[in-house]
Amino acid sequence: MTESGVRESGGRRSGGGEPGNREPIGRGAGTRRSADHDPGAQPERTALSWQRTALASLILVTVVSRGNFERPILVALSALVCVGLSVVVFRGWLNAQRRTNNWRKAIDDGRAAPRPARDIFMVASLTIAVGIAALVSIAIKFASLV
Amino acid sequence: MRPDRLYETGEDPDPRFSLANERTFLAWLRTAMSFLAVGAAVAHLAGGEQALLVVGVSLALVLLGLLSALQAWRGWHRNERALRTDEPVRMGKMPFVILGVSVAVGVSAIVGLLL
Repeated sequence: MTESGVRESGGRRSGGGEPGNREPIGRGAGTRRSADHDPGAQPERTALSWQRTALASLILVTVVSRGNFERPILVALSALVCVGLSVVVFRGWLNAQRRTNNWRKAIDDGRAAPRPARDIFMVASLTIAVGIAALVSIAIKFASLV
Repeated sequence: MRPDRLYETGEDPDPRFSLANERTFLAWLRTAMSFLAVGAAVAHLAGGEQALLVVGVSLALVLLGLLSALQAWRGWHRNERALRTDEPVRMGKMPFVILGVSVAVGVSAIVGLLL
């Protein structure tokens, strides 16, 4: 997927692409490139990033839910946070995927602004919750071992 | 805690920068998930031998996972705020702490296994 398919646009400031863009913008031999036009790769890459995260969360949830939690309340709590994390991450993926279709034009026109703060907060805190569940299961396991 | 309060400051940045910041968050989150999954897996694999080493390594890995998840949120929040208020984006010290601790964990795991 190339991002260099940018069109010329007269006089507008090239805002510089995302950090790590492969080609320096506006330094082509005699061509003026602009980052203002983006033919849709950014939302799609973000959706793919959500996809990878959703798949990674499945691995995490599988491993953690195999832990030995012994007490029913701990089993229930860990199952809850595991299911919660998967649901939230997959919902994030779905949202990003929907956005991709709606936003290509909106981004080109400079109308769209992503505001994912709530999703991101939920995903991060549920990951932390799953991590605490992992911590609990490890503590239980080694308490019985020692 | 209302994450949406972030949007009360500054102006919406170029959407592409926001999206890039979102992907950075997701990358950190996957790092966190990998640390946590490996930590939990190490604990599963532990037999009777060297239980102390195994518990140490798995606890350290889970701790690294928690730190990475924290960094994912804090880094995203800080970057998004910087983008909204047109300030420079800074990385902070946490990535170096995570790097240092994971190297220390790896080295001590190898040393512990060899001894």
